[in-house]
Amino acid sequence: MNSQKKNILDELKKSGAGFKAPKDYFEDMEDRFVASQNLDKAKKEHSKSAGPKMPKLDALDSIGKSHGFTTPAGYFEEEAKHLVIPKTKKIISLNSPGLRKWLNLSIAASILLFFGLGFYLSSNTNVKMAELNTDEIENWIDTDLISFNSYEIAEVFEDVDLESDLYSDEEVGAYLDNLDIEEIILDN
Amino acid sequence: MLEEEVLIERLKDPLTREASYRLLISTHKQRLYWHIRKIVLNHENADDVLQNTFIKVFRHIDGFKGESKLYSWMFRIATNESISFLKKEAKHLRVDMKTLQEQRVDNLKADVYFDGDEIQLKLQKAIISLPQKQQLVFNMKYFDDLKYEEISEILDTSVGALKASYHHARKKIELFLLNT
Repeated sequence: MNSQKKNILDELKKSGAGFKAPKDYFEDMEDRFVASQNLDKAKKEHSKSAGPKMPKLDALDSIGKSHGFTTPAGYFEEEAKHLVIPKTKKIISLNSPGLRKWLNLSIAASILLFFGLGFYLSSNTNVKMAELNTDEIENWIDTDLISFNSYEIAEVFEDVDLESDLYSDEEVGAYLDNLDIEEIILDN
Repeated sequence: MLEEEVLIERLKDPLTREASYRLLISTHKQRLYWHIRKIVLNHENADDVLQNTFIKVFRHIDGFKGESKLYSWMFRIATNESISFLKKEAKHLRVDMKTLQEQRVDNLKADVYFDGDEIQLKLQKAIISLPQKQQLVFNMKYFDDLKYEEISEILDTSVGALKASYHHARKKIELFLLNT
């Protein structure tokens, strides 16, 4: 089967890839290419520039630099009449005595407001743990508002020797099973 | 035919430039065209890429050091131009190269300059299923009958690697034709 397919490949090779070019395509190729490329210019442009430029620039050159847009006759002579000059407004100086009085008053009011609000907010946030609802605390913990890693927890119990055999695994297990989390939260 | 060194010297001389350029085109136009055509698949694009190739050859002839044969150097330029063209086209159409080549092979069915039958179309599909470099190696060896030494100069790859590459390409194409 494989050799049969190899024969098909060999057969295909004889018939070629199946592509063809337009009739007489190769006949006048030299004339077309030379005419479209303007050899002297191509050489000069290449020597001026660092990298090679793509062909068909000659088509652009033949168009020249004219963009093809026109304006109505006399447009630029009449231009000044079309222009609308905005009216100038009176400039208010920051050094005028009246404005300075208002500025001083504004600054004093801002300082008063800043300290007053600070005192009001700090006195309202002093909430005792015992006054908080257990559900609220649990929600606060559950929603990831606090997170401790094991090192932070260990720092709280620095005086406890965790390496000693003070408690057996069974005792620790029984303790954890009977632990009332609400009580610990309220005590701390 | 003129010796390569003489032709290159004449291409650099303003007095003999145009005649030498014409000679260069007439000598290499067919082989370069069919090489490009098998990469870009479409005649109009092949014509554009061929013109770009000759322009680049002409503009850079001063930098040609004669380390390889002139036609190998021209084939390399043609290959680079063809692949650059496909990359630009893929970028323009916002598709990857594989998709672009698949679209181009599909377009062959309606192409007036493609008279291949179903099996030749299938062969083109098999070729584009190969990695880019294997496609080039396969086309140059299978269709153009270039020697491995010549392909080595064009693709700057060792003869051993090319032999392996062509062997793999041929196997994959046989499998493709067998299984589809």
